[in-house]
Amino acid sequence: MNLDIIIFFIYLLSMLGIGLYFTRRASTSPDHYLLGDRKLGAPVTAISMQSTSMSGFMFMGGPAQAFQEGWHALWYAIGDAGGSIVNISVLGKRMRRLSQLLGSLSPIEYLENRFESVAIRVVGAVIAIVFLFSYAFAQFIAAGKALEAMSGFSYEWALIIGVGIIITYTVAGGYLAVAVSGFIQGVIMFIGVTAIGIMVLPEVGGLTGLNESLRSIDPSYLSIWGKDLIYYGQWGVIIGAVLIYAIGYMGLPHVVVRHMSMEKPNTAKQAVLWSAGFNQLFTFTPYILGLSAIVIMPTISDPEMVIPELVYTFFPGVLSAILLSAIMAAIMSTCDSLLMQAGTTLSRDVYHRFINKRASQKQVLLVSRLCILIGGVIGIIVATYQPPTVFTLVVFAFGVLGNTFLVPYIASVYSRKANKVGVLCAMIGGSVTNIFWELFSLQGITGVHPFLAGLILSVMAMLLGNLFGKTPPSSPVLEAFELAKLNRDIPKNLEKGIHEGLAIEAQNITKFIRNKEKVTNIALPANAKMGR
Amino acid sequence: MFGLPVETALLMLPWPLIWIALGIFMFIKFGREEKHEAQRNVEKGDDAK
Repeated sequence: MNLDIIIFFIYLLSMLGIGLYFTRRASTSPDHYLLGDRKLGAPVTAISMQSTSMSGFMFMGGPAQAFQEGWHALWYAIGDAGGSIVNISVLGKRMRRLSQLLGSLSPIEYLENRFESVAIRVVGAVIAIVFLFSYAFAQFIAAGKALEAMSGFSYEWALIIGVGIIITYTVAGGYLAVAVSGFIQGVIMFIGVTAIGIMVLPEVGGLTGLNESLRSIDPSYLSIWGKDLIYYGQWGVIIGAVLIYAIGYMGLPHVVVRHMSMEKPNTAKQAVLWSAGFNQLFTFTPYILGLSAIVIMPTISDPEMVIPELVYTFFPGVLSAILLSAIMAAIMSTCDSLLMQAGTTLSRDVYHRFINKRASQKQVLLVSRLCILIGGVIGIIVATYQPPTVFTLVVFAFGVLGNTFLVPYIASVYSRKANKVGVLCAMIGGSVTNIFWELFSLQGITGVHPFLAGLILSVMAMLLGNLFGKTPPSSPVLEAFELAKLNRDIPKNLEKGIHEGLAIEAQNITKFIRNKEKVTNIALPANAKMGR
Repeated sequence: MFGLPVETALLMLPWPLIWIALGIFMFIKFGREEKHEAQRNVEKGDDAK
């Protein structure tokens, strides 16, 4: 076995080690397994949020898009660079507080508790399960392809080894393993892509030299409207391209769960700064590398392999193995979070909510692990058939999830008047619009990006639903909503997530949720509604 | 700038600075909120620690 393959497998085994390290902690309670006991600090929150959001698309789809469309593709990078900053700024503190006040362990459960509607949980769970698994399966294929190219194994073996490791550490270590590995993978991605950028950019004469070369090949590569000015005058496409990543992350359940797991609401303060720095240093480089490939390797047959080809061209074997680990890191950090969230939705939002309401903590944990395992195995089987256009599937699933949940999550922390009818209309309106826009290729006819169309329809549906919905939220939920607002007093011990042994409030909440006992001496009247 | 057409340079290049400015602004905003909350809790005699 070559030294570079050995290095690559050391990386994979390290990820496995992280999962196994957290196994014991993850087994203590659903809070530990599903949310890492709400103990994540700022760097882990910020970097794992971004690495989870970006996926293998960043290393394969993004550069390919830049290779094909020129500078127009940078609109996606611009949105991506602001994604987690906007996400933490808008949702971070409030969602952290409100999710704890409502006793919610999953992002779908949070919506049900906030808007007091079983229908929201049913619709949300169905859409989340379908599209999270679709998204995860697309990542499986990307993982298999990447590992096949790097290790020389057959696609089937590469798939089983790569995805097998992801499934194992996710099942064993739960959310904490996923978040910590996401942080480490984010750092690896950053080092990897920066090293490649440092080698490649001087080769094309820096940014100015690169642009001069692109101009000489085809000046439209430098246009904001795309190669051959294909999107000329279509601001709807450009705004949609920026928004899909700039605000779309706020609609992804596997991303917003990072807010719920922050150590305390004020973790958002440091996290937003970490995001601002990390994103600007990282997100643009893969696209610039895609542009560089137009000059360096214009005849490359598969544009999605731009970065691996650049690595093999500029780095010796051992170094290339380390750098290519970054691609696997990007895929794995998204894949594990998707699996984790899909498993959480199945166990917490389906099994515990509808099938076995009296399930013990151990049963919920077991079901969660089984769901991830079974989903993963099914994913491997589906991925062996390699459905075409992997990244089209990624963008589609991303868009539908974003259009389904974005408006409800924002409304949950900012709109006192939002009611369950409005939220249901927003979820269905947003998702259906996105699906139809993609199915009938309406972007070409209207000049409006599917995400922008879904967002507009989702907002309109929310406003109309709120108007006709006759059921305002109950007073306990409204009190929790007010408590979760910024600049409102909330006991520090609850805010920090200190557990039942220390905080009387948390103790009462926990009692109420778990035993449905009457809450006495409670400091938070909002809890009257909590805990299904 | 950087050999880009004016339109592309003006519309695309400022974005990293805009995002960093937003990050710093939010950091300061969250910091102030944290301070005010701590102050109010102390004034109320809440166990702010």
